[in-house]
Amino acid sequence: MKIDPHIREELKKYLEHKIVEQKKRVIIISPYTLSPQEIETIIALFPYIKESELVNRVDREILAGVIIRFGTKVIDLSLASQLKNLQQSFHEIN
Amino acid sequence: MENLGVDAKLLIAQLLNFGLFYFIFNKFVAKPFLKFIHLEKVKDQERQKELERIKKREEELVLEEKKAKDMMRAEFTKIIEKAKREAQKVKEELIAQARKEAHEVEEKAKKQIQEEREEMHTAMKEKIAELSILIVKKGLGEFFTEEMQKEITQNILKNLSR
Repeated sequence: MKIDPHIREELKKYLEHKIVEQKKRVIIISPYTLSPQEIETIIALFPYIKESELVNRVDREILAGVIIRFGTKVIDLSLASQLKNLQQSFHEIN
Repeated sequence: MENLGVDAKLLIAQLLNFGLFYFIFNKFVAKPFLKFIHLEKVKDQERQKELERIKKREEELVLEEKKAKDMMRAEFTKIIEKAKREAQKVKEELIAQARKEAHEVEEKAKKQIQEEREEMHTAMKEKIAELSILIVKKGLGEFFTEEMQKEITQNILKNLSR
């Protein structure tokens, strides 16, 4: 499918801008609202998120632990993902 | 002689006449005729001989024909027997081939059934694992209090820092 070069350039710029915006913001998903001490602990573990805007989102589905999302990277420390890994290991055993 | 009414001259003339007649008849009629009769007799004999020869030949030909027919019959029977044997052989080969193919189909079907059974078994195990995890997830979701979630989260972060 041929795309107009002008439109392609505009799309590229838009996506790059979105990525940069994503990188500026860090989303921390937790099953409850994190306390400032807990956020400090997380920043201590991952210092490169310090300069970014931190947003705490609550999601009870993760059961426990946290999921840290910045830019295109995701660090999944949730209990739900551990259970998913366990399920995957059952599949691999089979 | 004249008293008897016999004319000597006439008698002599008749005798001469008869003699002449006899001579002419013998020379020009009897002999050719006899010759002709003789020739016909010889021809007849030859014809008889020829006929006998032909009859003999005919008998020989009949015998030869019978012999040839017998040979043909024997040959024909031989060919039929050979064809029967070959047909039987082909029949046996076809039956063996069909049995082999049927066996192969049966084996293939068995293998397929076994594979499908294993696949089903695997899928079932995966489904059971999936359901188990789901049940655990749901259970934990309802069981966990906020304090428990905090404790676990702090444990996770503590372990990470190590």
